[in-house]
Order: sequence, then C-alpha cells, then structure tokens
Amino acid sequence: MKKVLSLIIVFALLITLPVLVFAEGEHPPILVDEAGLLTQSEFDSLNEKLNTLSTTLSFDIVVVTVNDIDGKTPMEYSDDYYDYNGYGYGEDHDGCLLLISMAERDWWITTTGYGITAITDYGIRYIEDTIVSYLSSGDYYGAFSAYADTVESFVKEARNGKPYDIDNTIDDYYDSYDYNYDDSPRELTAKDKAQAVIGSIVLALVISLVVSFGIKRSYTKAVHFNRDARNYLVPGSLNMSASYDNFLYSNVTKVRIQSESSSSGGGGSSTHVSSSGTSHGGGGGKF
Amino acid sequence: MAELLNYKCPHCDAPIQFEPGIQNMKCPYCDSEFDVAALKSKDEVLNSQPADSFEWDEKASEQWDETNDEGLRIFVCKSCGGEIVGDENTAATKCPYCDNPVVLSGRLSGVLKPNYVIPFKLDKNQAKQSLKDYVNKKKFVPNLFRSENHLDEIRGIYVPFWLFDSDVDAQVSFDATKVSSWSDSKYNYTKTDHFDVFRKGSMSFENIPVDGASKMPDDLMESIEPFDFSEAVDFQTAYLAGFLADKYDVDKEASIPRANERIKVSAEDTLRSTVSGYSSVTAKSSSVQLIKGSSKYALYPVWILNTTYKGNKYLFAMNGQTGKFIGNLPVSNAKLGALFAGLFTGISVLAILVSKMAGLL
Repeated sequence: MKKVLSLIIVFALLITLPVLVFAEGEHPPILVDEAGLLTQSEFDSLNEKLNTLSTTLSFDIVVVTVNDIDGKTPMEYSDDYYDYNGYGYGEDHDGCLLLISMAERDWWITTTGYGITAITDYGIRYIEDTIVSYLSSGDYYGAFSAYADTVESFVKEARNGKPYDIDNTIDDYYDSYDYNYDDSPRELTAKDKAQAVIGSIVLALVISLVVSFGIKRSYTKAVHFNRDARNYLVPGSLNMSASYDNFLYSNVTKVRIQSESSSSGGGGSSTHVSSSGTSHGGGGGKF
Repeated sequence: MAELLNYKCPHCDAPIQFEPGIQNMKCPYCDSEFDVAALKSKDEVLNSQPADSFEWDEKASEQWDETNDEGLRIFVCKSCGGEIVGDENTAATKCPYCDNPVVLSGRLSGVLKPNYVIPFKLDKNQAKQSLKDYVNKKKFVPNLFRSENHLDEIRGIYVPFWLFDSDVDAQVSFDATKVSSWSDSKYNYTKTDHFDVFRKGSMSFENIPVDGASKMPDDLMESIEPFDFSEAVDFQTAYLAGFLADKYDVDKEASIPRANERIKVSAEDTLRSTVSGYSSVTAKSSSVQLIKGSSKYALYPVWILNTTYKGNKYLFAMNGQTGKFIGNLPVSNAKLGALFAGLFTGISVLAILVSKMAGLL
C-alpha cells in the first residue's frame, strides 16, 4: 500500500511539474504584432484587454500577427506557435490563438484544452462571421477586439454548463447566415426516432423476460443442492499460514476518442493533433 | 434381529409417544408426561431382554421376503398382533391397525445405533400450517392449486444423516487484476495491473450433513439445511416413538465424496474472501487437504408432505427443528403472462418517456 501511495505521489509530481515550472516562469506575450498592424495605443489597449480577460477566465486569448508563415499551413503554424511558446492555462493548456498572416491574407483560430470544448466548430464559424468583415476592411483593432469579446462569451457560456453549439446558438446568428441546419435543436429523422423506440422496446423486453423467468425458476426449482458448506465452517477457525500479492505486469490500452463530426450537422469540435502531439481544434480562412 | 419396541405408559399401559411441543414423552390417554431421560433405563432393560419370539417372526418374514423380492419386511405388532409391513430400512413406524408407535430397536443398535438425534420441535399441525403459508406467500401459484391441492400424506421422519467433521488445509493461487482508466483529449486509456495472489490457511468444518437415506431426495434434504447441531442429544429410541425413522442405507464411505465437494468449495471461497482490493479475482489452482476427518451418525427431524394437483405429485419438506419449508411449486402461466405484459408495457413507456426527455425523440 505504501509503495502504491509513493508511486501515486511520484506520478502526480511528474504530471504537475511542467505546469508548476511554467506557472513560475514568464507567461509568453498574449499579443504579438510582428506584422505591425496596430498602432501603439491600439496595441497597449488590446494587450491590456487580452491580459485581463485571460487572467480572469484562466484561459489564454492570444493574438499573433505575422508577415509570413514559413511555408507551413496556417493551421500548423498557429498550432506550433501555441504549443512551443507554452501558451495555455492548466494541465490541458486551455486557450485559443488567432493567427493573422499577411502574406496570403490568412486567418486561423486554433483552440486547445478547454478551448476545444468552449469554441466548437459552430463557434469558429460565428467568430469568422464576426471578424472577417473587420479584417477585410483593414480594421484589425476592431477584429481583434471583437474576437476577444466573442471568445469571452463562449468561455463563459461553456463554464455555465453548455457551450454555444448548433443546439445552443447565439440568437439571430443564423438569420444572417446561410447554413444547412436549423436554429432550434436539430430535426430528428424518422430513423433516429425509430431507433429510440425500438431500443426502448428491446430494453423492456429483456428486463421483463429476465424477471419473469427468474420468478418461474424460483418456483419450479426451489429445491436445489447447496454449493458449499459455509454453514458448517467453525467461526474463527480460519488460520492463515501464508499469503502474498505479487505484482506481475501491467498493460495499457488506448482507444482514440471519436471526435464528433461537424460537417453533417453534429455539434462539438473537430480536432487534430499538432506536431508537438497536442490536440487542437480550430478553423480559418482568407480575408 | 429386529426387535419391536412399544413405549407404554407406566401409569395406564397405553402406548405413549414423543411430543415436540413439550419436548417430552406424553401419554395421549391419561395425559401423563415422562422425561425422556427417565425412560432411558427402561430402554436399556428392554434392549437387554432376550427376544426369542421375535427372532422367529423375523425369520418367517425374511423367508416371505425372499419370494417377493421387494425388500419388504413384516413385523408383528406387540400391542394388537397385527402385521406391520415395513421395508428393509424402517426403524420406526406405526402399526396400521392400532396406530401404536413402534420402534424397531434392532435397526438402531450396534453399528447401526445413531450417535445423536435432534428431536422434533415442530409438530404435524405446524407443518400443515407452514405448507399453507408457503403456498399463500407465493403469488404466482395457480389459484386452483390453493383450493384443489390435496394433502395426500404428511409424515414426520427421522432421516439418517452422516455428519462429517474435518480440519482442512487449503491453498489457492489467484490471478487478480486492478483496472484503472483515464483519458486525455485524444485517447481513453485503460491500464490493467496483473497480480499473482496466493493464500494458504487452515480452517475447520463441523457436522456437514449428508443424507444417508437413498429414498430421500438429496437435493430436498440439502434445501432444508441448516440444522442446529447444538440442540442434538445423545440418541435414545424414545424420541422416535410416534414418528417414522429409517436406518441409513447409504454408508459413510459413499457419503464422503459429497461432503468433500462442499468442503472444497467453501475452503476456496473462504480463502478468496481474504483477497480484496482487486477488480477481478480468478482462481488459478487450488489444493485442499483434509487433515483429520471424522464422522458421526445422527437422525434429523424432517416433515415430508405429499400433495396432488391435476394428477401431478408435489413433494414438500420442512425442517422439523427450524421450520424451514421448501418444495417446488407450479407457476400459473396466466399470472406470469400478466406480469410480463405489465412489466413490458410499463418499462417500454418509461424508456420512451426518458428518451423523449433526453432529447432522443
């Protein structure tokens, strides 16, 4: 037991150590304007806003602008930027990063940890809808500001229990946008309904059969042999002379968590794994 | 060989019998009560008396038996001279003519003498009441069974049991696992730790009963266990007066394997119960050694009730000491069908409602 306990402690330390070190170290800059899209006053005000929000939410809301993404895709660049600079709160590195690359006029939002939960595929589209018009018109301060506000509301909603998603939309969103699915909870197909009804009936059938046959058996097979002689064991006569519990080996199996698809109308976030091995969600496009 | 024993009231000379209610001998005619122990001396005197005339009877009946080949024996009632037909195992019965209790002491002496007897504590009326309660408690018995089920026969029988005592040394190896699971954003992980677990210990078993009468169904006798051996008393034939009794016809050696089976299972179970904290425990190998086994021969009290319903015979047994009642019963298909329909409908509706609330419908 002591061995197990010390093992647990060592494990716990190993897991928390990087976090602790990170927490002690300096937080990487929350706003990086390499492309020089913001004036100094815009930069200062935005920097303060992002820092405040990130701290209060314990959720990094990062903005990075670059001129060029070194031949990587916007997704790879933003994922790596996030991972290797050590952004994110907690063990899961909760946060999101908006990348603007001026060379090809790309934008990309990458989500990590709790960001994947809070900002679903629906959320990415919502942010796209909010910021792309700003970006296209060159109002970068307005775009980043709107991005920060939107992310804040998404994280708060998710912390309240249910992230904004196709079945929990922000009002009026779809009025201005043309998507395949409805505003309200997803329309269930006849097949879904039939499955639920058949499932219920099968469940009822199984339980009823088990109970009925159990009762029948208890009546017609009441007379039976005794399995053991426990009634005749002299109480307190057990005297252990040897016992050991030896650990032999251990094996770990892992099953990939099915990421919910977003294209066919299901909710949630679609995720991918970046070069550092971290899981990210996100999306982007051109402006 | 077989001697017939009538217990006579020292007061009025009427036949007396053992009364479970008062745990004493009682004369049904003059209401005198007699202590069983006090009758013991009388018992011994009777046993020591030469019994020439009965030898003759027995021989005559055995000759008759040889020609009939059915294991039947005929005895002559000491009270009325009527012929009592018993089988080769009968140790106590009643005369069919004068209803006087008869004990065949020859069947219960020498090597056949039981070491112990647990006297009946419950009488015939309690057995009848138990049958009624047992059937009424079971709601899925056909209604007709309650009214038309005829009690054909009710018998209080002292059933011969072999009682085995044993000290046991046992050792068992187990394969045990501990399963833990966790997940990160990509994978669900399941870790299984495998352990080799070994337990060795000794324990004692006392008075494991094995039915020694071939005509008593073994499963029925095991179903009314346990008997409380602490209430057993040294055997005296007086306890048998008024009841039926058989001598054993399954000998000790033939009964041992059944006791061993139960000891082995219990020894393994007991050791297994000391293994805790695992997700799964599977016995890999086990070895059970009897250190010193000894046996006793005892008569245990059992009420046997036979009933008939729609041409089928139903057999019930009641523990004459504890009152534990058991027997297979018919099930009304109509009642069971109604239950099934009700459950099926109820659960279906419930499950559909739940899935509706969960947004699946």
